[in-house]
Amino acid sequence: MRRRIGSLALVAAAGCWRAGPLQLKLRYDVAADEPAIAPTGIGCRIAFATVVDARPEMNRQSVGDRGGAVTAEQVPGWVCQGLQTLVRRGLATAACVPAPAAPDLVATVAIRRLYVHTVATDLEAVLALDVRYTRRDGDSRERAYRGSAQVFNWFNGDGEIEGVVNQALRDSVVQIAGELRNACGGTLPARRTS
Amino acid sequence: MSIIQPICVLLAVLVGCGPSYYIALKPEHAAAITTTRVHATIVQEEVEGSVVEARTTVVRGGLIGALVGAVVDAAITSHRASEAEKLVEPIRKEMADFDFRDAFFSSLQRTLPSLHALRVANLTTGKAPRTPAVLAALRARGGEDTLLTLVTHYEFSPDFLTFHVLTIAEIWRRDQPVPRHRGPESARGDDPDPRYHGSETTGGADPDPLYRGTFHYVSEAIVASGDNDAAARAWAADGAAALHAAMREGISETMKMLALDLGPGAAAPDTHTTSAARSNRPPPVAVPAAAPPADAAPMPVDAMPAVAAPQQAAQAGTPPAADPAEPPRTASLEAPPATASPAAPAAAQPAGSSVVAGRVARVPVGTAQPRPRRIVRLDNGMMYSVPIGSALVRIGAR
Repeated sequence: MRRRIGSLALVAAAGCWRAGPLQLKLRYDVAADEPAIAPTGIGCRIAFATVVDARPEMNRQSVGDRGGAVTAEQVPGWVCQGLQTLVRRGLATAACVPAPAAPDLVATVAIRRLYVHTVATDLEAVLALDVRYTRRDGDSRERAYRGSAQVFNWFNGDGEIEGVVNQALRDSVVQIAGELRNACGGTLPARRTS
Repeated sequence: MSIIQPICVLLAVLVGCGPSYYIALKPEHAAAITTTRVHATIVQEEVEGSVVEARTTVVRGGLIGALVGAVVDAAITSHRASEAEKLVEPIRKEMADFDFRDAFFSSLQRTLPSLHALRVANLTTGKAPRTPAVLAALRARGGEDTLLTLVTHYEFSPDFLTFHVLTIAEIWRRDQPVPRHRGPESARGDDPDPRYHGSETTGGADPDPLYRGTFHYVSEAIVASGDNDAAARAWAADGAAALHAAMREGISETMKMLALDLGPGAAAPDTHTTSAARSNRPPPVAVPAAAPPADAAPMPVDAMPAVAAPQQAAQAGTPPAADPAEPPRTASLEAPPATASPAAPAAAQPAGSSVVAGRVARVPVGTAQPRPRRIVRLDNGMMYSVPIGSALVRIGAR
């Protein structure tokens, strides 16, 4: 009982515990990722042509719950924002926009999974992407990337949830960046789960 | 670590120890059912590692002491959660091709025709937590006179040795009083009453449902011994083949347990021995109440209902029943009406104390001939599907 009172007092003191439906305002801060991705040349022009939402319908309805559904719209557009990090760092020539020049490698992205949930006292977000790389010579490889992030859940707040979801996207983008050189060279394994 | 300890902890976390796990469907209630809406819920997206919340600190000193204690406990729990996530994440990566929710709902859809107690059953599915408000909304709509709710959770034991599927099934009549709301704590899943905690049940209701069944599948231990790391690696090995098998088996066994309560001859024997789902043996067999020796081979008996009966023709034109929280997927199924005798569940069926006295002889899942399984209802009313020889069953014999 005392511990419960303590927990409630903590929350009451903070006055910030949030519950109820949440419409995520997905906006990815491209600049925040740049230190994690080195601007090295990769030897070919890569264009991320499309991002499609391949999640089952039920999983599109909501991405979590916090006493009300947590929903997210425009998820492909948000993923595109993350991929634009790669353009800013010189690793890709385009992301979700027409490429300025004919690319050597075209990448298409499928969103397989996006969710956020609580794990005991933590918030966890997962973003799973499948990326198909197709070279000019027709060689095509599909790779799976699974970005995740886990943070302490202080107040169950809107910003906390949006933040951890963005971290999951950041994790996915960093994983993709790490493979682009091999994608150019056609040396990716046929299937990989990051 | 003994298998008993993590299971006890898991059960305490998932369901709590106080409430009634089993409320038998009385014949008069069963006879009054003409149509049933079945609403199945699986909230989680992927397999989870069980995290035991810390309640270890002993701090005195009034409010300040309680505050310090809560903070320390939260930190410990957070650390445990992080460790569990580290272990489970490689396993999840290997399970990217398997959607437990889809597999469970599909299996349930195929099973519904054999649940004769429900008569005509319409299935809706969802992922929104089953809060009292959601339950009230479900009961308020639809033309069926009865609602069966299923809430399923699946996870590893805290030591990662075993995989568990826990399902709570409850039947409500539409003319029962609307469940009273239990306040914001319950809505958050923090209700102190374990029956309503964690959104793992259908939520607060007064009076009790017409029926409640609690079904718990426990897999074979993945390794004979070792720490959490070794067990987690074993689950992830070979494309998580063992977990794929355990999930399929867990779903299959859950359907068998559901059919034991709501299928034909629902007044089922206390003890059932079934072949493992991975084996090619034909199904389930029932053994009279006198339990066979531990580790006995399954005996082919025809008394147990076929569980995964072929799906009856879907009824075209059935309007989708709306979930208050989300648009559901809908399937309409009809139970065989003519020859099937109405379910005659046991009235006030005493919870069988079918105890399997077994040793813990762990065989790695998927690497050896799967051991036969046993379905048993314990003293507390919970129905288990466990490998024969598992010491788990002794827990309920206390």
